[in-house]
Amino acid sequence: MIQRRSVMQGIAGIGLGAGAVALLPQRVAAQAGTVKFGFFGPFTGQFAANGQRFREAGELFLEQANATGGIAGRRLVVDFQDDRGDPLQSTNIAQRYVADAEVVAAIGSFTSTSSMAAGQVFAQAKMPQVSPTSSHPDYTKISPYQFRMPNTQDIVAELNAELMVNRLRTKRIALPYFQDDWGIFVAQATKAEIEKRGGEVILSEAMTQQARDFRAMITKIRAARADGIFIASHYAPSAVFMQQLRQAGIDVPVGGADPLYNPEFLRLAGAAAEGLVCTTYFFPSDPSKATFTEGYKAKYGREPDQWAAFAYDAIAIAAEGAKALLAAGRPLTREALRDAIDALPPYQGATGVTEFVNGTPRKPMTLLVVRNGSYQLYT
Amino acid sequence: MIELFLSQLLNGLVIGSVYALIALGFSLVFGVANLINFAQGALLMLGAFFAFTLIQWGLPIVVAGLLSIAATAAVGMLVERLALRPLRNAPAIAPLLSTLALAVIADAGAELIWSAESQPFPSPLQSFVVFVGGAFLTGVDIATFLVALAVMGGLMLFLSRSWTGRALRATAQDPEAAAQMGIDVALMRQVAFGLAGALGALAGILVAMYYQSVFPQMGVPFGIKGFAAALLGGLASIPGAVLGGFLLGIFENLASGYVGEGSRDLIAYSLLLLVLMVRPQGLLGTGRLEALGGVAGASGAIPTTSIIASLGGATARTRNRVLQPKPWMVLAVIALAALVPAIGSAYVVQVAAGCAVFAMLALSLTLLSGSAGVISIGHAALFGFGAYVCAILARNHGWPPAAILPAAAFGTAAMAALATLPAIRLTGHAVALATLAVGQVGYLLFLNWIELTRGPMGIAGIPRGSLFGLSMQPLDRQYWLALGLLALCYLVAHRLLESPIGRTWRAIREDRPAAHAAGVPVLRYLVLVAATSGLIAGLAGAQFAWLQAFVSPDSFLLETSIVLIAMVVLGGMGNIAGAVLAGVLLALLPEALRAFDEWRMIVYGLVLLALLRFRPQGLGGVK
Repeated sequence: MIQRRSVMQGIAGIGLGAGAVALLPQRVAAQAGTVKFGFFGPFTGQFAANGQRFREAGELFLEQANATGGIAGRRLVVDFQDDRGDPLQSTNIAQRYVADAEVVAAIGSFTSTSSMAAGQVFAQAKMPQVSPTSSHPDYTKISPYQFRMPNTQDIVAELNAELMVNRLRTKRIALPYFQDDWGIFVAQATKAEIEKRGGEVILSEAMTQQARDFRAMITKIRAARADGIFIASHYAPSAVFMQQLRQAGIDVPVGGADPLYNPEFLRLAGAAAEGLVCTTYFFPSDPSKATFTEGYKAKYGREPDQWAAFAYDAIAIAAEGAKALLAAGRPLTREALRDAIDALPPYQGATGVTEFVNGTPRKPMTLLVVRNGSYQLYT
Repeated sequence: MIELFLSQLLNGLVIGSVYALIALGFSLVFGVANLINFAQGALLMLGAFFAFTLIQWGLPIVVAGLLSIAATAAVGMLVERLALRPLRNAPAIAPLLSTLALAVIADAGAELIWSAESQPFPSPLQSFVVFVGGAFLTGVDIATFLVALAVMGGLMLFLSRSWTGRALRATAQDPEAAAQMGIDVALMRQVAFGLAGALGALAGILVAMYYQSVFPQMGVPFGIKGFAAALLGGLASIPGAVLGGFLLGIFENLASGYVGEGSRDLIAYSLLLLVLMVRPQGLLGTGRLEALGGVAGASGAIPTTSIIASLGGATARTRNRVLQPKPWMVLAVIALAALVPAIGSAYVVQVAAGCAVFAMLALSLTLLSGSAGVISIGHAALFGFGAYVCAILARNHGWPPAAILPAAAFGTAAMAALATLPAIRLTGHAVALATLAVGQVGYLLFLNWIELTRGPMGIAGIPRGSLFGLSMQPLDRQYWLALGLLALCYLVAHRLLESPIGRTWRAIREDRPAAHAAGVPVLRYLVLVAATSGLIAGLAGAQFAWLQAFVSPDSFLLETSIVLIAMVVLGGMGNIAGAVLAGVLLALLPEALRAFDEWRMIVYGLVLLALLRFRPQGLGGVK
């Protein structure tokens, strides 16, 4: 009994002790020959499937950059931190980066809420923040220090609507959307664009965050006699939705937002995914993306997805900014780096060409169709 | 649209039978061990993943399922061994915290072992579809329904006919008498946990087949819904659990069908609240000493709110050293903490300010749940209310902090009194359900009332304004404001608890009928404690909104409510100094453990378990 108790006390002690050490201000001797970034996302918890892709892409870039001579001769160092998708933790992380004088830019986070909570801190500290995924319109309005990799939803919505109305020739469209800021914006913007093109949205309902049972919605879609469906949701719930939809015997054409381009989506949905058309920024079969795609496959043994590609581009573009500064012989400060990132020439990355206007790019997107269990260009 | 109705009814029956299985697990454990097992959702997830792995190894699905059920039953017994047995002499609510710690470890462990991705789960029956009019059923639906019915029937036969089943019920009715009759009570507890594990695994496999996928977070919503179903049926009643499961399943599917998928849970929880007002003991949780209910069930305790009673175990070896610092000592510590900005970086100040906010929340909840015995699993909603009041007034109406503080404080106090009113009229476990429902309704309103709260988009750019002519923009000042508010709340709480009011609260907690009989206006005192608690939570919420400059529903999840209850238990029920200490500790821990990287949450769970193991009465001791 006594022994066990002391073991438990030991565990508690070690945990608390390690904690105390971790909290101490980190005074590592400043290394002149490095460039340091912060990189944060939900590596664990509810969004871990996406966050782990982020981290893998970040580590891949780190490895590749240092293997090819670093950033203008300096070694790249990245401080990876997990925010669990919790805004409180992301502000803590943001302060942590800000307090570390060596960190010149931060990459993250996955959810807009975490990115925006952290963004308030970065804006004050004048540290550039590149979010791989935040599409929230207000995100880049926080300050000139916020950048993002995807288009805003009003740009994407034009393509979504064109797909549904002009390409798939559907008129009565059902529009299920995921209940987060991204899903709500996609749904709103896509609905407006569909109506502009003479289509009609006959049903638009939220998929709640943990729901995997969409039969009620599907029954209503059938009753409303929709002739097309556009899914504004993430790949895992969408895969279940597709299965339940096809089970119910509804075989109208289905279009989807860019998260549906994901190898995991095909694994999960199986045959139910056939015929789905979705938009994407990133298509790995494109030979120009080989450094990323081949590198990722070799390191992790699986295909990269779009989130990984976004994260890779986000850290790459920050590195590109640092490279431009250093090459010009200017000091690498946070404020100078922001201006350098903003002034970069169009950057050719895994997710297409990025050129920032007020922190937001305007990238071309591709349409893909699922045929015989794989994605192919939709023509 | 009769088609929609029929279809939703069928869906409700299928999902409801899964809820019923989980609810049965809750009821068994609650009946025998008087414990709400927060690890039930984790058991469901583990059961699904065990089956998934065995199928990957090439076993047929039925064999894999049976092996997984056996393995999860063993895990269930392990939960009893780790979470319950070492805490026999602790306050009855303490094991709740250790099951929570185990759930955290299991969830984080599953992410490490199986990765966080959703993975396809084979579901051969899924391609078989029967149409009933416009509605349809798949082979999995039919299998789920039939298997669940068979298991429920079997379980009831087992409980009423077999020797072990009778011994289980005897243990539930009166463990001491059962022990004297030669029943191995400890073994019976293990059996109950094992059965709960097996039921969880079965539910998990059925859910995996239904979704055709497995993922680490899959247990979470089912844990909550199963718990709600068990409470709805009358926590300790076996037929009640089944009925509660089916009703909840049908409720939410009809809500989803007629109002919309987005408001499914909102309506389910609102209906739960309504049912509670009419039948507070749960649908079948009458005073009848049937099934597992027994004396413990009839008294409807969650467990009993009396801390003294639950401490007075047969083997009272536990020492309840109570941490009772003088108020000036606490103020001195807070004053010392005010020096943090002088020595620490902005990061340390940010973390410390977060700790101060959570210390206020723990303080607020320990008044309500610790001192007055109203166990609340929905406190995050009050916290969120305060935060949204601040966000909306500051951002949209330009109010200064001096006006926002009282608005958030008194607004939340009024809200708390109002929201707790249905709960206060209830006793025992019904309170837990009512507060759970209030908490969920609050969260879902933050999420769905987009015109007011901007829903999942959150409210950004909340101005910190200036207080007494001093700009509150710098982080250090926010931190000092948080400390000041904490000190103020601590003093108020201390004064109240030392006064006759505090004594009356504790009297109500220990024995409500006795207090009532002695002429105490119980209701009035409970409304007072709810309002006081809400006042502090509102201040904490406002402070949080300024600190983050951003609020979104993500901060006010059920998870937050559960962490708050964990702080109260860890601090020692009703001990305000302990609550402040535990609040700081549990807010600090996730930050402090960053060095452990992806093992962080596992270590967090282990530290929680260890702390509880050597201070079962909480860090401060119960008061």
